[in-house]
Amino acid sequence: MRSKTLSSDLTVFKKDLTRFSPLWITWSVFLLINCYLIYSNGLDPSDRYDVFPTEILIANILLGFCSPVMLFGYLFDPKECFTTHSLPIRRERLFLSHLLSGVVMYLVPWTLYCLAIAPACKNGLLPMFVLSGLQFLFFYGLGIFCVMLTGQKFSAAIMYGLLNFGSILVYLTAEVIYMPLLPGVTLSMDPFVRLCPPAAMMFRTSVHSWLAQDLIPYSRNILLFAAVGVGLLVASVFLYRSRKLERAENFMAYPALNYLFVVLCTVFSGWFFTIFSSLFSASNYWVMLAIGCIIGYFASVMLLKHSPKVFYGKALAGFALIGVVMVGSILMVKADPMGYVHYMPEPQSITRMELSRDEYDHRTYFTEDPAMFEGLMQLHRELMDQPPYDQTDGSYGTRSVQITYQLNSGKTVKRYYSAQQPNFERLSWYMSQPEYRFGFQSLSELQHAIAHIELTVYFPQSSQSEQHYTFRPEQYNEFAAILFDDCKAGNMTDNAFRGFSDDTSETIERVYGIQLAMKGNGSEHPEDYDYVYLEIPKSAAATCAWLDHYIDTFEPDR
Amino acid sequence: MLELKNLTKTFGAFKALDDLTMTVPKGSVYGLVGPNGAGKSTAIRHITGVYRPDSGSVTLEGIPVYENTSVKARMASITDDLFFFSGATIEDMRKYYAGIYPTFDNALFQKVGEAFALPVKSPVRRFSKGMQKQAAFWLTIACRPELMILDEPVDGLDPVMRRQIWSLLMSDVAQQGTTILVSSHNLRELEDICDHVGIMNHGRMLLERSLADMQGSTVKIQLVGQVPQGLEVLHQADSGRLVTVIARASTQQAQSILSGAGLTYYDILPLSLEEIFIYELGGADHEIKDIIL
Repeated sequence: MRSKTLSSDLTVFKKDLTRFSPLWITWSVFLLINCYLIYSNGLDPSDRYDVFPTEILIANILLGFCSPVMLFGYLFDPKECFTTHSLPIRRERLFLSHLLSGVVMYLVPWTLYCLAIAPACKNGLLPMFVLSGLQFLFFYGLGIFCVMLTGQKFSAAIMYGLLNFGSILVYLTAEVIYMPLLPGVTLSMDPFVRLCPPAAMMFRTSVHSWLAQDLIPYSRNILLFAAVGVGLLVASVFLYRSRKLERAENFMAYPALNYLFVVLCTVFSGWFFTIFSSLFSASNYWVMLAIGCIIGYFASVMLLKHSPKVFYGKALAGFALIGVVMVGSILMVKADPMGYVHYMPEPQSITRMELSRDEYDHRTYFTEDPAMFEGLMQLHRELMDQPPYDQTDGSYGTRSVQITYQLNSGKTVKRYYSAQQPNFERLSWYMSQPEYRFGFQSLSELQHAIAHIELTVYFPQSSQSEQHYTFRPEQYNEFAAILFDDCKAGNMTDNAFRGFSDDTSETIERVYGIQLAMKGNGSEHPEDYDYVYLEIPKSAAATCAWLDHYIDTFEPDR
Repeated sequence: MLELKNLTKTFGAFKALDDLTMTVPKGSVYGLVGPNGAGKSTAIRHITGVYRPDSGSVTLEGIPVYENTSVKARMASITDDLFFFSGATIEDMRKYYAGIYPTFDNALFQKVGEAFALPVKSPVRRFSKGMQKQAAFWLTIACRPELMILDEPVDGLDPVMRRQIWSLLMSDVAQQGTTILVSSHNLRELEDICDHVGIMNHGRMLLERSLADMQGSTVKIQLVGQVPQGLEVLHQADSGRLVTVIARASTQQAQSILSGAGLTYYDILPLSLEEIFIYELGGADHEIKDIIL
């Protein structure tokens, strides 16, 4: 006698494979094309820069959503939902059948693909095969979880996007709405990326080699996410068991989530509208925020109620409540009860201070000399006390500056400012220092690091073409000493602050551009060199004089 | 026997079923009738195990229906909103149902198919509404259910097909002892096939009885003169001297009351199910107002 349960499981499973064949056929074609490209270009997939190809990651993210929406999409359609659940199949078994269908539709083409490209791989494919499967398990579990929480494909997509990238959106909202209230205080994206959004984290993390030291940490992350995926699948079973089928077609399957949706739409809409505030003056920032929040709130309520008639009763009360909370939070942050804006560490607690242009500038002025701390702290005070920037005053605009304190306790305090003209001269001095220019505090370090020096001379006032010179090794130390002294004296002004030097007021006959090739970590291999380019300003008189003598003495390269 | 006991179901602020109690005897043909919005479809979804009640129970032979595959395997339903897989032919649907229902009879499927001249290679979704209903019947009968639940089963079918369907169903009842629960607005048809009737309104059962009892407990009387005391009048209409009364009484009770009233003229007439439905709901704020054109 045939097993009734097994028979219905197999029936559902086979139906899924035939009904949703476009899904696994598309996946198979995609892999087939990949396979063709590997063999036609003679690639070794195991030798790639990214062990985990980005296109596979993207495919996993997409399949992690599309598979559940297709397999469990009957929960969104009342007709199909009621018909399916009137059949003699328990929900748990339906869930399991669909779940396995999705796994098989992914795994079979993927396995065949890996077997097909295995001959092209010198290093073996097992890590990629396993890691991709585990990664898919996470996104698949997340996709099913989103389907169980929602009643429509549209809301399922929103939920999926939010759970994948939600913490980045939280970061952007905090950055846009609250950080302007705390001048100088920065919000790092790293904790938000680390905490929540696996898709974003997986995009940022790539494995650069097949070495165990790189692969193992990455694999640990993937395993953790796979475990989360399994947890989400288990939660999904419970959600499915308790799901009220009459909620098919509702925006959310659980009414409480509607409130969360409305709040998120309100906040993110407000954030979105502040982007356009730069088209007007800065004072319109809060107006645009308010407009965005109003639009976001009522649009989301209309979407939930399927009606434009929402400007009364509970909807208005809800808006008032959200408004009070948002305004209250903004006022509270502006009041800065924790004293972040004016916080400066005690000098005796500081071990090191750094000054750089912004967080993306790899050049940094740094000092561990307590005698130098006061100068930087004075600069910090002046930056804190700057008035709001008025772009109509005809000044030279602002320059981004980051001040970093490293403390005895191991903590790091960072502040970020848009420095205005009165502070440019002081900043220019710091940007001239050898620590900032070359990353070295001593002349001997600089001289030891130089691999070769090239000079390019430009003639802006005449039609003479540029000339190139390559220094001889015996000239390196002498030139480095001259250059170092000018840097130390503050004469090597940064281009960004150059509007205040006397260069612009003179006719410049020659412009010297120096390229220093520096041995990275002491390595003699040219591919490890770091390159520093300097345009020598007129203020660096000693360096200019030395170069004038040099080009009078030596012939340019042919 | 299918039993619904004190069934209550609320959708938000709306109470769709309000302490509904209903009994469908085994082997009977039960007609579930009621005005639009009475809760018939909601009740049917509880019977088929789709909805979970807020309170109360739905049992078949004393066994709860909800999430019980062994009970649900003994019933099959045809709802007003039919669903077929996109692109699926009759044969595809047959395979699907045969895999789900342990009692699916392929031989019966072939035999019943001769009565329906449906194209077997076209997707069922492309059929007309009537043809889709026929396809639904074809599959449902072949499942050999002990309980068949039909919501507006012959809506959209031509008269010949309607007769054929009822004939098939009745022969199934006679041969297999199948219990049938039919929900329909076509009371004239129901009157011909049902042996039990339940009249619902506002989520409650107003009246539930065998058809014979129901027809035997309500009479239509035409008389000349005053309506005698002792008659429980459901409806009264005057047309000149002739008075038409619908009363809750058996024919014998009415005869006895009328003969002692000294009336000039009276006549006791048979009442149709449609008339019982209209006049029962007339007492439950579903009045039929006299219209003067």
